[in-house]
Amino acid sequence: MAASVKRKQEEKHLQLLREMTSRPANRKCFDCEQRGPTYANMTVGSFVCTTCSGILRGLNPPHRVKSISMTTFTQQEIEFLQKHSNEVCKHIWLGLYDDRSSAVPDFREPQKVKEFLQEKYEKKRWYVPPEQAKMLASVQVPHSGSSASTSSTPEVQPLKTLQLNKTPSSQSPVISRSQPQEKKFDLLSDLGGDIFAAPASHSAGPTNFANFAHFSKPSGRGVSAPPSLPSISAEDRYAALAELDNTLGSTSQGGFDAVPGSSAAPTPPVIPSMQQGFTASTNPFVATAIPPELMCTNPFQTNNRSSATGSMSMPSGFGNASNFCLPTSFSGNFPQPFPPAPYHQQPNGGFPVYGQKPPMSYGQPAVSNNPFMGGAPAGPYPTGGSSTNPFL
Amino acid sequence: MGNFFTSILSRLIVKRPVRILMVGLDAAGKTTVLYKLKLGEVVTTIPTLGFNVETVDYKNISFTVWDVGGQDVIRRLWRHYFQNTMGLIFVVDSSDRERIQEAALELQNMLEEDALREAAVLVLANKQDLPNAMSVHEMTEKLRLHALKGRPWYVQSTCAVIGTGLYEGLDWIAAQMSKR
Repeated sequence: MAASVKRKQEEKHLQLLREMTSRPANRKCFDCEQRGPTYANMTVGSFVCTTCSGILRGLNPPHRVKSISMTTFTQQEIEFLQKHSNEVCKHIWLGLYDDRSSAVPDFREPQKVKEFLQEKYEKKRWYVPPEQAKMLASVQVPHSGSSASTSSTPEVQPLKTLQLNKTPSSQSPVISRSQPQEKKFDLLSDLGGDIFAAPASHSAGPTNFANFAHFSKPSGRGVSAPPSLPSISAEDRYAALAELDNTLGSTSQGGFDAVPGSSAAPTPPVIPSMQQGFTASTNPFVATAIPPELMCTNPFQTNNRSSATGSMSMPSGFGNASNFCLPTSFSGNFPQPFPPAPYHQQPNGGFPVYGQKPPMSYGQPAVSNNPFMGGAPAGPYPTGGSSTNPFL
Repeated sequence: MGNFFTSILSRLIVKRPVRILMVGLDAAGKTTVLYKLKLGEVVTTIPTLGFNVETVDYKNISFTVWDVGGQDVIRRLWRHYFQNTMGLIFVVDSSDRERIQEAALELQNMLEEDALREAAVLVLANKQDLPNAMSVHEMTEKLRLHALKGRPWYVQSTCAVIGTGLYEGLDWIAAQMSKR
């Protein structure tokens, strides 16, 4: 009886959380603006991505982060989050921050993000006490509302939303994997600080947000291909990336094709790359984070989609990273073969996230292995992890 | 005679494998401990979902250390790693006084499991560098370790980001293993 009450309570909390995370301001990581936060920062009350959650708990003093899907929340915690969330936190922790003159560091550069967060929370460089922040917020709301309405002119808005959506459609997987990256760069270089203005206007101007939704939703996150975006010239610019892609030996479905080779790969050369990946885990996949209800049950399809659609950042070759870090973790004591983690699975290992889009296993110094499958941790599991998960 | 040399040689070359399970509440520092031992470096970790496993060779022992995520929903998966565990490392954030009872409860629950009856228990009182960190003595009290009967246990204060105490902890496990 008590258990069922508790479960109901937890379900209610989960529901509330989902509502909160679907609000425009909460759909981006509070600290790096990456899309699709997966963690709640219980110290300040914001929603953040996995990478930032890692950085935050390493701050001094450490912040307490809780996974939205891997933890249970108490009533007080839910209320705390409701009272804060990204919108309010922005007025407090970035109260003195000027979106226009300075830019939030790119989430693919964790070191910069880390320094930024140290400034933000340890030194409180842009901190405004909550009371003051409230007053400021009330002053700013009409202002940002008007700016939203001006920026929603037809010439500007479609471009923005298209680029934010970044949806190459009918490309071959290899090309489309490098493409989102280019566009991200284009976006940054062409629009400059403008991209950072976009989220602000989303949060403030309802019309703007509606537009955004109009562009992203009916398209099933990926059908509305941007017609006039450069692909070949930009391809050249990122030839280095493509080369990396080649050196890493990645084919588009590398994660699956390379199963035997990867599990037999020798250990020592792997460590540096693993290490690098580990510390540099900007986790571009989080950017794609698709609402759970949209999650595809076919793991292969999910992979393709996540690389082809929303992902504004996935550098080529990352899909394969799970292959490289695999062998380090198993030093030969375990029965072969261990299929590599499909890269849509959660970072370091086994458990698929329940009802959540689980990205990024690249660069994680660990092996994916689903303990549900064999009962024993070392049991092999089918490559298509999430589709066989009894919890889904 | 040949056999004799072979056995001597194999004892020198072949390291004894010891399976270690490392658990604890989330953000206790398990992954940081693991990679500090493995790589000698501090890595920026993200909350572990699932596990990390590495082998650490130390003192003629090859420790296979399983580091399993500690967020509350995935704690119930710890038991899948219990089998054949010879040493249990329980990592605690010494500065997290708010959740020390939660940690104590998790440890007690785990130690009731039959699969772990052979396991030596090493508690790492981690994050000693943070202000107001609990001492080894206080940690022992809070975790109610004195009530633990018929099982070797030890509390080691550590600071994983600096590296202090980690090898002392392994020393203790190594000593326990050589007793068997």
